[in-house]
Amino acid sequence: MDNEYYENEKRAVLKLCQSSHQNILQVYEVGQLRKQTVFFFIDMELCSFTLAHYLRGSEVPKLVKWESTLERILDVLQPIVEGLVFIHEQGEVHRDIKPENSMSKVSPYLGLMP
Amino acid sequence: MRRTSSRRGTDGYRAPELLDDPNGSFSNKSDMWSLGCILFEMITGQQRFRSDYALALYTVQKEPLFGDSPFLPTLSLLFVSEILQIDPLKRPSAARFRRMIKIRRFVQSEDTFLTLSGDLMLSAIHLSYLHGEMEQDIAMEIMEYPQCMEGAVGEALEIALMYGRDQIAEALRKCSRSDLSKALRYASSRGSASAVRFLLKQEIDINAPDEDGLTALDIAVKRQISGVVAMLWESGAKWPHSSSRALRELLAMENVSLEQVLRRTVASVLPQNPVEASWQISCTPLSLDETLHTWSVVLVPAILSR
Repeated sequence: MDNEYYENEKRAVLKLCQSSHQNILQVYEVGQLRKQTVFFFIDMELCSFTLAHYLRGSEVPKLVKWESTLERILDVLQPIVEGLVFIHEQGEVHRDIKPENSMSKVSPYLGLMP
Repeated sequence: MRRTSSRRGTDGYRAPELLDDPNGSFSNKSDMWSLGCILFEMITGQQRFRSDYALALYTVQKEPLFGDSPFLPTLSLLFVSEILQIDPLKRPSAARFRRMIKIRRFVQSEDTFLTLSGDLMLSAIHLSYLHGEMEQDIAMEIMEYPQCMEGAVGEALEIALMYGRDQIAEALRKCSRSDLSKALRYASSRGSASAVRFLLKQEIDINAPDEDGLTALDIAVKRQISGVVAMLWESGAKWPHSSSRALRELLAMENVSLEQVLRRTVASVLPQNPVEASWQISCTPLSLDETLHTWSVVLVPAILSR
């Protein structure tokens, strides 16, 4: 069953690799880390910040403080929704949407991590 | 490099349908729940559900989603309660949510007052006459979710027809029959001939009354909008409140002959009650000649044919 799970995951990720979307991070490689476990790694674009950094914390110095204005929220929300629509259109489900998985190379643009 | 944390999401963002069933299958609506959680957090700065336990408690206790949060206006502007529905089927799809946000943004950028003043879709239609490019999104939203108009169909239709937004007008046909009847009464009261004509072509209950028991024809007669009266009349609207005053107003209209009115009155009342019909005719401001004419041409044949 683990093997089957791994194959499914890999297939899903590879599918997203092939179809690039501006709001989905580019994936470079997929592989299995240890044969016996279900962990596998995804090699992808390097991003500096996630939405969680913005929302929760001051861990990152010099980061602009999160402001909960409608305009700002819509700016951040837009790319996440675009990415999600794309994933769903491909017949896939993300399965782990959370702030930690909404990444940004440069503020304030965010992309979804597959 | 990153390891997958879990095969079924993360505590605090996991959808309720996945709580009981560890092997429960994710659907795209489960993603939407997670998105709603992020949205809540972006607005309030707090997680709505900190853990599976909190979520389970919420689903069992039916506590309010927001309470009296100071962020309530923003939460409702961004449809958070629409997304955070326990039933996955009731949550919007990602594509629909994108459209809702797009319409929201469009309305927001154009006129804040309209947004605050009421229904989002109506504001959007108000604005769509400026920007044809939003027409299709608005029409699609109405088409798939006709209830999003919430009874504002009449006004929406009037605007759409006035500015030639045919796609929106077309989409409004999908609204419920009671909404369309309401729209007909609204259009009749406003004397909006194009909207009345459009509505009469739909499958619609032309005689549906409002809370005061008035039908579209009653309203048009009261406001003396003769064009609309004639249209409704020709489409077979019945005459349920034939008070003599209203009848006189109707007779004062052009294009409406006395005989027509009487025939319709008799047809609507006679089958149940011939006495009532004759009484109603006696209430009309007729001369003796006219009364005799009425009896011989309309009433007597009607009674005989029963």
